[in-house]
Amino acid sequence: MSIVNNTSIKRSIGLIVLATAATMGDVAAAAMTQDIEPKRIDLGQAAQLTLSASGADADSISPPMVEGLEFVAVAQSQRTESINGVSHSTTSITYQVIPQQVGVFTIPSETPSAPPVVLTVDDAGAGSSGRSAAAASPQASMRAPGGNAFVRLRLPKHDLYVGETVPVDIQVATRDGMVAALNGQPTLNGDAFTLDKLSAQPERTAEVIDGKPFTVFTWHSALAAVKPGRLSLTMETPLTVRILSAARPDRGRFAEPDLDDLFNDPSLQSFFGTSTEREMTVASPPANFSVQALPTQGRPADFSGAVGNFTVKSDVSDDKAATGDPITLRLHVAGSGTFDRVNSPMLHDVEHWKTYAPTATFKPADPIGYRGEKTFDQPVIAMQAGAQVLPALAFSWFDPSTGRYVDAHTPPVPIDVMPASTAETSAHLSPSGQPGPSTAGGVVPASTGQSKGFRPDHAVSGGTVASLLPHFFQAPYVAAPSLMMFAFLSVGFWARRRERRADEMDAAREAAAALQTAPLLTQMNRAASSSNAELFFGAARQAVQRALASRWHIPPAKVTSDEAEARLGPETDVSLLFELADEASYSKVQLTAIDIKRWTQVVNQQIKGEMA
Amino acid sequence: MMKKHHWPVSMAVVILSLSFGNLVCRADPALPTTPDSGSHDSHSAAALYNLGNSYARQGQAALAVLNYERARILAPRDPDIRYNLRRLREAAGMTSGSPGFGEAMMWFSPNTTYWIGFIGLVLAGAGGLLWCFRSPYRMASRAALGAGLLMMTFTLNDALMIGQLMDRSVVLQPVAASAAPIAGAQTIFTVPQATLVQRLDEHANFNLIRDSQGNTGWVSKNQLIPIISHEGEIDANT
Repeated sequence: MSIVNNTSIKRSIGLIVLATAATMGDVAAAAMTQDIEPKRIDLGQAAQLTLSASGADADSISPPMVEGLEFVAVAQSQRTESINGVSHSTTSITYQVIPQQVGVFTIPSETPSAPPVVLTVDDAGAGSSGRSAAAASPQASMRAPGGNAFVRLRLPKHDLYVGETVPVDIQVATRDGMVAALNGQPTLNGDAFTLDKLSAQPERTAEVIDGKPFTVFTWHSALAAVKPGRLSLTMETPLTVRILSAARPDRGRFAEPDLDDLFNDPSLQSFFGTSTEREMTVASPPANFSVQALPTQGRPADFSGAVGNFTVKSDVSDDKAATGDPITLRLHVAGSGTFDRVNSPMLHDVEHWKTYAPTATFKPADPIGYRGEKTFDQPVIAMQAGAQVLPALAFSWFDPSTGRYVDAHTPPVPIDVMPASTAETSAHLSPSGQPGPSTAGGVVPASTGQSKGFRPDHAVSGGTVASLLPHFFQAPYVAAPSLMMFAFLSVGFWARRRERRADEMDAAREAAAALQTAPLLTQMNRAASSSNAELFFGAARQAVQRALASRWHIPPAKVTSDEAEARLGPETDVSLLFELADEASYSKVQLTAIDIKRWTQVVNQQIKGEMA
Repeated sequence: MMKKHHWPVSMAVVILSLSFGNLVCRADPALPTTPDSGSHDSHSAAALYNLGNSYARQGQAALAVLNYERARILAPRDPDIRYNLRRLREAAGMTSGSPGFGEAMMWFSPNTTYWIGFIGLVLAGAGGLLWCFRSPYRMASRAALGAGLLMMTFTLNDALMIGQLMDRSVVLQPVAASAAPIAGAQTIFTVPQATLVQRLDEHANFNLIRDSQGNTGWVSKNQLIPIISHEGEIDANT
């Protein structure tokens, strides 16, 4: 409560002094100076330009215009002195200079009395890393425009091997009240490194940096290089900052720096609405690394890519077992390093033992999984009674501290294997002769074997599968019916298309036949009117010949009485018509109305493709 | 006339597309493209059943249940597996694990079901084509098409149930199910050892599970062993 009251009193005093200072007159003639620090920066960094004008207020100071540089006002102060009753005021505005490109920039002065200042901007990735000691240091940081936020990396070492994992702390510090929001997690720039297991929620601590309160967000992660060489990386974080307005003539007019600091307090500026929000990305200084490839000399055959410092041991769930009962062989790999690459095939094809696929579990000792223990559990079943031995387990890794591969072997494990019947008898009889342990918690008593009503084992023969994963979820088995379905569809569509085309061709032929037979039908009508049997039957025969020729895909001349009998059968209307046509051409045939009607119908039927 | 002939083919295509499209969509994108290359041995229902018996004799209920359940996938109608699984649950005082309607309807192993569907596809395809070509064996083609469609429908039905199996896990140790996937979250209920649960979702190192009573909560992934691992291997402490 007292803090609040003190703050309120200070602010009230400040406001009164500010109002008084604003009414002071008798301003001396203006004289402007400018200074920039530092004078040489890397692209991505920022410099501070301070413009001071004596005898003028802040309105007379305007930001310079230089192509390739951006000027953002970040602070303003005014000092007023009264000497022998004459007031002299000095107004200063500090701009953050953000270069947009590499080069040497001359920032001119607004008055001839002040010399221009020169800012040199270097390429951050081209030889400047060696110049910047801060950038190369493990705790280097880069201020954001306005100096209100920065990102820094805390790394234990900068000399790495490919695949080696090192823990890294990524810290984003934001000035209290000046950063409105963090807009995301830090991200890695470049493709030479991987960042694993970035904690979802950062740790949050308060720090005072250069006398100003900062909130520091820390993410823990593990960094690994993926290729050799001299590499550098930066981390960047998107955030929203509050930027002070450039012209505020009613602020910063105090002779006392404390009062200026008070009125430059972000919370007060925010209160008076003098700041605007802007989204920007803050990047860390480049951290440089020397990354070496893993040596090929001395690499063990079973090396799985693990890089770190490990210890290896093995044990079994029980050194006594019965034939047919599973015991678990465990390999423990503990230490620090790339546990993702820690892998072991365990045992395979061991005489007198049946081995199953091992599983791996990892118990991390820190939040990022850099330290911990990985355990491989492999169920094995003794197939033969007697004194058996589980062979030694091997595991190899690369130790970056010595620069050499380590090939470790665990000692063989002797197992006393009893015949199944003996083991079962001993399992059923507890030492006290009492029933086994309680079933509470879902634990089945050890005596619940066949004596508890379980059905006996099955004979193992045939019917094996390589995987429990159903065929439905395996790509080759999904592809096979899909391809088959595609083939069926293709053939079906092809058949349909072919049939449709045949139908279309038939229709076209029928249309052509109808067109060809139309004059003959007219001729038949005329012959019928004049009772000319020879002409009638001749035209009828020609019409039928053309219609059948079109259907049978042969020339009309080949549609003879014999051909018609061969194709349509004996004594059909067609063959009879052909006979009548022959008869009418050689002898007098009487043409009656019934004949005309009948044979006209026969001809029309043949033209339409209907069977008479 | 052509349109009349093609509707069964169109129906077969739609059913096939739906069935295999659905299955492919259900499959985890991280699934390997080749079956289970890392597995040490081939496995059989009898071997898994015997392994379950061994664990049951040793008093390791969770691993026994796991192996019985895996054996049941390969031999769903095996009475001994069902019997021993039921006896084990009774002896341990566990609930039945509610296999569910779909699972109870499973008649064949998933791979047998797959091949039934495959043969059905061949029959339906051949029957449809014969019909298209106006084969003289019209009755035979109709019968093949009908039988094929029936077999494919059966496979589709079973495949959808098998999809549910992919999300089943056995609880390794008694574990507290919490309200949120973070350490120290409020405990809602306790899941006993060897309980069969359905995995509904995952976040970080936690799985959202539902037990046979319908309770849902977040538990550590380390305490769950999937009946069918995504890699398809028979692993996990078996």
